[in-house]
Amino acid sequence: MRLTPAIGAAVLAAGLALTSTGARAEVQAELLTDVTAIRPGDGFTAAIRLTLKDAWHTYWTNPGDVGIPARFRWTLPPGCLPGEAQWPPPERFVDGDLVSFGYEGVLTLLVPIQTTTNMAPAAMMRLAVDVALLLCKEECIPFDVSASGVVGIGAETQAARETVMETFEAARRALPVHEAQWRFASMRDEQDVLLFVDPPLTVDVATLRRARWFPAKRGQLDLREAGQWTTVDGMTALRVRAARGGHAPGDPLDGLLVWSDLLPAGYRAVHVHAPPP
Amino acid sequence: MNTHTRKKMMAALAAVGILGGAWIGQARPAPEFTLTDSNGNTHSLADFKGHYVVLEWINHDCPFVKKFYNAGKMQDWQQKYAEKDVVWLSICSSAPGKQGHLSADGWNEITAKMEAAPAAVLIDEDGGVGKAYEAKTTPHMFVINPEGEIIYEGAIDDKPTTKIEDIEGATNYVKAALKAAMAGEPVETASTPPYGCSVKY
Repeated sequence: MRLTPAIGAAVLAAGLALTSTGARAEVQAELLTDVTAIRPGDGFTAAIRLTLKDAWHTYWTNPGDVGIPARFRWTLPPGCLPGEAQWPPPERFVDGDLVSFGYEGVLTLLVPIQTTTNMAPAAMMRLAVDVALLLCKEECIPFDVSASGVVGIGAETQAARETVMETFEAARRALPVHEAQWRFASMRDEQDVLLFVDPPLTVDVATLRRARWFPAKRGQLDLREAGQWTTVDGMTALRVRAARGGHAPGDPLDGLLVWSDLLPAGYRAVHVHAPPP
Repeated sequence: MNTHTRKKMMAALAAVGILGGAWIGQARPAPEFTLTDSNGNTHSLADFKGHYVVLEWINHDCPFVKKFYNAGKMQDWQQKYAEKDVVWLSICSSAPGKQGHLSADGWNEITAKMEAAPAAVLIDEDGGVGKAYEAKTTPHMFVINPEGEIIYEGAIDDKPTTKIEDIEGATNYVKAALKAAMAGEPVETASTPPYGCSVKY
């Protein structure tokens, strides 16, 4: 996108998050930022929003038996460093014996971006991201889409307008949390792996057992069974099946526990890191 | 983790016998099969005893398969290993009406067009052989030693993308397994999670 300083200034004055979209029939990409201007040295968050046409899906970081996750290539001005993309909890797709994890509809990925104090002053900087993603329904098609946005560089960091901030808030609420009150351990039991879960007091066993499990590591588990909640000597545990050549005795189990609705604590997914005893 | 939780977990672990029953992947015997190829000839795995065999699950319309054929790489490997007396079999488990399913003539046509050089293209349209091997993706690769054991199964390489430029510089697990086994050395990576399109059973 070509942007004249005058138009850019007008846009920023109006508090608009200016973006360009990469549109294809099957997928549209947008880049949003939670600031309209940044003071060098401050951080901000970018959101890559992918809108998929009905019936198409793309993949989580662990795509499951098939597929691959989206990859990103940033074009940012000097002094702007992108962090890791933060992925919302996925859905489970079943196709016969093959199970995959991913997203339909709208996928919003948050990416923290840190700036350095020595950024060259400029009326604005252009942020661009190329997204390489695989879309599948019955069949799979790889797509390359791009999106860009602009952020001013100024004396003060300025938040984006309210509707944009609401998009960011909703995306943040959906993210899995790292919560020290949850305690996990894992243990190999023949072909199975037991994931022991000790939840905080605010989460009862019935709620815990409504959680769905998403393993983080590709190829570690046999995904045909989603996991069976059980009680072992008074402890609640999820019984999952190791994949041949996947999980080995002594390996930790990592992943997500995900609920359909927000828990009273205000999140709907927790990160699991379950070391062996 | 607090002491109480840890004690409870350890008790639970003891209750199910943590220290017993390690289930470790071992080289499994390759499932026997008999399939008809695109020229109407039947092939059984037993026919190839004494040879290394590569099984390549294929769907010519899958972007992960196209990555290797459009680059000419799969054809190169098929030719190169044929010279080393390795039997390379492409297997299509797409069901009739699903993506990648072709008639025998259709396979001969596309094989000629791609200049592919497998020993045979085997048609597994009921998916029986694919399911026996638990083939999940296209491509999904298996390397079988002259004794009929699977010495490698999984991804073709360590760069799960559809981009041709990622082939260069990737570690090709099939080549690595064949190289090690033919030199009488242990296969370092005997299995990996495959990547690609789903097999269209």
